[in-house]
Amino acid sequence: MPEKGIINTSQCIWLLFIVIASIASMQIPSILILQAGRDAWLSVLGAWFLDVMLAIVYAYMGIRFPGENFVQYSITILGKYLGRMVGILFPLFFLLVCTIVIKGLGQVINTAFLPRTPIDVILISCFFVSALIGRKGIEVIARMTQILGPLYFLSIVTLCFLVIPSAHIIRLKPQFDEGVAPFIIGTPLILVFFGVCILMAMYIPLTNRPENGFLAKFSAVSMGAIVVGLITTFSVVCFGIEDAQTMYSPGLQLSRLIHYSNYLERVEMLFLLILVGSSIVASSSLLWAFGLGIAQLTGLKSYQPLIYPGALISLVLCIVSFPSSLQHSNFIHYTYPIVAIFVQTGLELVLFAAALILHKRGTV
Amino acid sequence: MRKRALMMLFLVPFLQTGCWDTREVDRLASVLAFGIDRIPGNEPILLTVQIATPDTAKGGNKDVKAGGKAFTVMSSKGKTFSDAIHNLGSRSMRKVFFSHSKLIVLGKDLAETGIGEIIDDLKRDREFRRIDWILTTDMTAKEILEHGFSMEQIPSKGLDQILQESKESGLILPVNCNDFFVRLNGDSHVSFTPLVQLVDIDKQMTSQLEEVAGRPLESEVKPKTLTVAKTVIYKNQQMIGELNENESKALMWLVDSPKGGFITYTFAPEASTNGEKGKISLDISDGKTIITPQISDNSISISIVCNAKASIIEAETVGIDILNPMIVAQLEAKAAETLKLQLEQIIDKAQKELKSDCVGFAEHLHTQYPVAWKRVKNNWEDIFPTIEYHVSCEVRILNTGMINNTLPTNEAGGIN
Amino acid sequence: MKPLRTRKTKKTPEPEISQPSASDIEQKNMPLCSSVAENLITFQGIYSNCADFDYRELIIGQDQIPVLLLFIDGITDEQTINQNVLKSLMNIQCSKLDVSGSNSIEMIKNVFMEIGSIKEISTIGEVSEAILTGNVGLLLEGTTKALKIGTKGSEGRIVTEPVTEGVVRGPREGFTESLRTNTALLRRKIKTPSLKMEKFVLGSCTMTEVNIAYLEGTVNPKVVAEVKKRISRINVDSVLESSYIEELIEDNSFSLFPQIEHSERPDKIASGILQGQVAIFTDGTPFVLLVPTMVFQFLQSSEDYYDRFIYASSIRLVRFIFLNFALLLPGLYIAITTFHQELIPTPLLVSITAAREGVPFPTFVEVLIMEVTFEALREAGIRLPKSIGQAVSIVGGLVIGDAAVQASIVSSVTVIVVALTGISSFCLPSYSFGLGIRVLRFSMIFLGSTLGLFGILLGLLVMQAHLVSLRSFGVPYFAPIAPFNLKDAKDLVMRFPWWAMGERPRLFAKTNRRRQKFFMKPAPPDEKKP
Repeated sequence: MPEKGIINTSQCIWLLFIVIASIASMQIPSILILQAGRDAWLSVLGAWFLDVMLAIVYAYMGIRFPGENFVQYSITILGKYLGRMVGILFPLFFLLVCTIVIKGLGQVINTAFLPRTPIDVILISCFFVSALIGRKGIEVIARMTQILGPLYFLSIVTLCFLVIPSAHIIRLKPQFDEGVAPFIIGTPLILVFFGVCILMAMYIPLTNRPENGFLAKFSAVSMGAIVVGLITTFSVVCFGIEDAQTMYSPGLQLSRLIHYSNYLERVEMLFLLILVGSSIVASSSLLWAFGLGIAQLTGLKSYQPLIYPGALISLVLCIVSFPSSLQHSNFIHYTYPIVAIFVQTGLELVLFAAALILHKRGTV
Repeated sequence: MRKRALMMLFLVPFLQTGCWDTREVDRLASVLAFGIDRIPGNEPILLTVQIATPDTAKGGNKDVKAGGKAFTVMSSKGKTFSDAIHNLGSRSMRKVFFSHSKLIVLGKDLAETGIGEIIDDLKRDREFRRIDWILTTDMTAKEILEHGFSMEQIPSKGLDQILQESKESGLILPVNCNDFFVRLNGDSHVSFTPLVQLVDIDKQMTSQLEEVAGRPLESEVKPKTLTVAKTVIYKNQQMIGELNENESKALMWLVDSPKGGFITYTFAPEASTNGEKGKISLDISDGKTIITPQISDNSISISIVCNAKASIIEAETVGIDILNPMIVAQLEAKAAETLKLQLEQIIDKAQKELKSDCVGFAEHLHTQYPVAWKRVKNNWEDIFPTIEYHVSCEVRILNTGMINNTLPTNEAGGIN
Repeated sequence: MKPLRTRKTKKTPEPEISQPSASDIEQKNMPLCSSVAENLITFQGIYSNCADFDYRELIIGQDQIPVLLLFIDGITDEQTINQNVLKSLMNIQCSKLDVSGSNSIEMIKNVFMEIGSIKEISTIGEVSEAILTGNVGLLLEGTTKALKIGTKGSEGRIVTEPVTEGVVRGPREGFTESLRTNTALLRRKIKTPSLKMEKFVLGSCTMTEVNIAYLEGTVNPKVVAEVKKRISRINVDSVLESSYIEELIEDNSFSLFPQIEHSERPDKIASGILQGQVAIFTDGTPFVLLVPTMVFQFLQSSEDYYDRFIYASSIRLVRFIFLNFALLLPGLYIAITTFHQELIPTPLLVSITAAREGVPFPTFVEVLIMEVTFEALREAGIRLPKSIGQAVSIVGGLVIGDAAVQASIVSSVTVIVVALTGISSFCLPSYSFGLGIRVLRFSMIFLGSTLGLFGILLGLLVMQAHLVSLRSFGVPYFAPIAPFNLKDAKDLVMRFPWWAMGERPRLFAKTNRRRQKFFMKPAPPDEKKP
């Protein structure tokens, strides 16, 4: 195992929470509201349920193949060559997610705070810091999330508390206005963003108590669902669905609504800072997962030399594939869900079925 | 370790070149309020901004120099709203910075011809905020913004305070951009803003006083004052009418829960024989309205139930026994009736005169009967004026102020 | 990089003792001669040109045996030599016991010498070492053995109040330069044989004695083993202060944060030892090291434990806030006033604008000027004598600051910010931790002036990643926040009352965590009655 660090269950929870929250709370609520309308919060609930179901599979596989993450057990199950071909998809997927997260982050910073700074500069500095953290290994990332995770959660709750004066619950009604179709479409859409916590399969072999894998994921997804649900619901009750679905980042707009007497206003930067900090740490853990996965596939002794090249590839992807925010939004909306559902659900279920059929088990 | 240090070294020049967004505060002109007017010509948008002038006296000395105003007003025109903002740059020595603005004033011409073209920029630009107050004027926005207050150095701050205060006291419902936009997008596409006017109240009052005194008064002539008391109704991004002071107060009951308010009415106790009459004033401390649509055989009716908690602040009617529960019940009933009349008046106006759903019935219908709403959605404009409604009000008096009963002023009892 | 490397190993004349030649080692291990005269010549050779080297020849006993006393003048206690050593040697004449012969040395040692610490030695090196540390070397004719007689003189400072860590309430004694006094101060507080003190001698020239003290049974044995391992691999010529050791045993040399705490307060060291830390005493300095260290210890003052716990908790909170001020305030000021003006309340923005009117420099330069001036003033104030130091700070702080604002060189808001930052940095109880913060403050200024709050955030992230990746002797530096431990967090920003802190910190004391009886919350006696 190229990674020597050990994390505990609570660190695992925060690691997963940070990843879910930072990918799903920036642009996703507006896409979700566009699809699911007023039922967006129900979609979040549905996705939460489905993702917890999926977590059972991942947790079971973690116990069935002790000490192995999915890159390793795909080799164990499917053999040397096919297993590697399947296994490489996971790290590549993480790199893709990392690209999406940082591009979205850079876009928000560029739009809302540093409009004349070239986005490349923002991207480079984000990648530099996240690679720097990712290279220090899982223990450091886990400790960072232990600090930033609670901060993130609290800040979102505070944010929602502070915008209550602008909220009108009547804007959330009626539910199922257009039938159940929006809810049914919205659920898988948000599920693919919650599904990023298949990252748990990378963490389980490193936790001091692997049997708590399900518990960790359950708590993390629940908190993630609370955060995304809060942002979505409050976007609807503050802006109405017509305005909210056209917004680039409803969460950011929510923080712009805060005004408390005459001094606590225009504080969106502070919320954004916590958001950005968490996203950078989340992307560093994605970079770490990419490096570790590739290192295991190629049999390297250490994953550390792979982090900076990984960050570089991701940076190039950011600049080349998403020249503007338009491509990014389109990709998240139309292409990413297909890729994600294939990797998160399809591949893992295939591995699961193969393990059952071929009677493969991990060696202790 | 050496590698890391080297990498840090690479970062330093990279960081040092990166000050694209730096703006020193003394290169900024912070806009406190801005107004938009429509003018003829091929550059139809006239933007007027009210800019804070920094107090040049050092060390936080608050005294404004003689003749120096605390604010400056600048205008520029352009093909669109954002074009006008852009053109302002050629006139302003400093970068015009909108983040601190608190007020948007829409000129009459603009409001009447439609405000659709400026709304997109107000939503899209990062410097505008959805918590800014939005106001309409029956003059030009430029005139409003150029006018100052005598007690407050910066007029936009004064207007901001007026709006906040009047919400507390139930005079008018201030509207911020977010609420304005959301209502415009709502089911009825009707929204409203308060109306800001420049009224020469002082002159009116002076002439009335002169009438009483029978001689010219010796008071100095005061300038006109900014007044916010009426409400302007927009429909489909266009101004279609206005509500007067009483209707504006009543509107609060229908679209919000008033935290304050005032009811004044004439009261004569039923039991009293000598027909005493007098004015009673109640202070509303907590009001709540429940609007429930009812549907029966294709006809829609709306029931409006208002509840208010109030306290007596003035009881001119001499000889009534406020300690008597019966009298209090009468007082309450009479107050409820007054309130009911006010509400009916505004709904009538909305139905008959404005023919627009400014009272938000569509929202309630949509919320509670989504299926029925779909049927009537497309011809709501025609249905709304015909809708039956029923208002019932209940006022509860909780408090009588510092005294209980009024003392009679003479033997006969009563002033009248 | 190459030139740097060569500059580090510049060609100073190598001190001979640090690179002992073959003949030196040979001489050191050479046994003593049986002839006193010859030995004297040898030692006079070794200590040639040493003005403080002194010896005394005398003849003892009925057999007129020559005896040689070797010592270094000044570091021995003259009174002890005169009253105990010489007197007992002279007394041999009156005694009937025979001191000649093979057991003469033992005879003197066991029967005659009226002194506590005495030891038999046999080589020239040992004798030399003995007299260099303040003992008297006694050489006897006819035997190749010698005696080391403990006559260490204490010319040290008396125990006074510590200068760097003053308290309002609490013990007023501080460590001195003498190692034995220091260990005595500790032993007087912890009266148990479990308090172990192990001796090391470091520095081939200075021969500095170093003691590590720990509480056996409480301390994590792995930490003690690690400390011993790291200390024993030190091979330097000199140890003049405990910082020499600190730099040679710390985990990350390039970190800006001190990973080893030091103190000159015996109560602080004692409390550290009692919760399972290891103290390292160094002769010649009042500063004692304490390992392993967690970052939050630098925010705790020993007085926190002597004040009422509610007050102590709140004052820690203040300290914590001001630590962030000391680190971030100038950077935040630049970032907010030049990038994110929307964060400033409108009236404040107007007055900041007014204050900046006419200042020729950008805010960044303005802050940099004031910060550097402030650091210079601080440095000047420390080095100068106390009375002048005050004058410097008054002239610098008040006169120059005011004049600079009057002359429109800096704006008055900048002066306020820098002054507040200065005050905040004095809120930190630990001077060495504050040094790191001072350096980092400047990087925050740079980051804030280039990328605004986003830059500061990046800086904070990197700093945080560095902090959580540090370890001090196996203990995570940022514990108990990350990794989080609720029980250890009882003594973090909050200071729980003593009856609630039943356990020692988990990371220091692995096994023996129980500190005291649980449930000792005091209550009036009546309440307990049924």
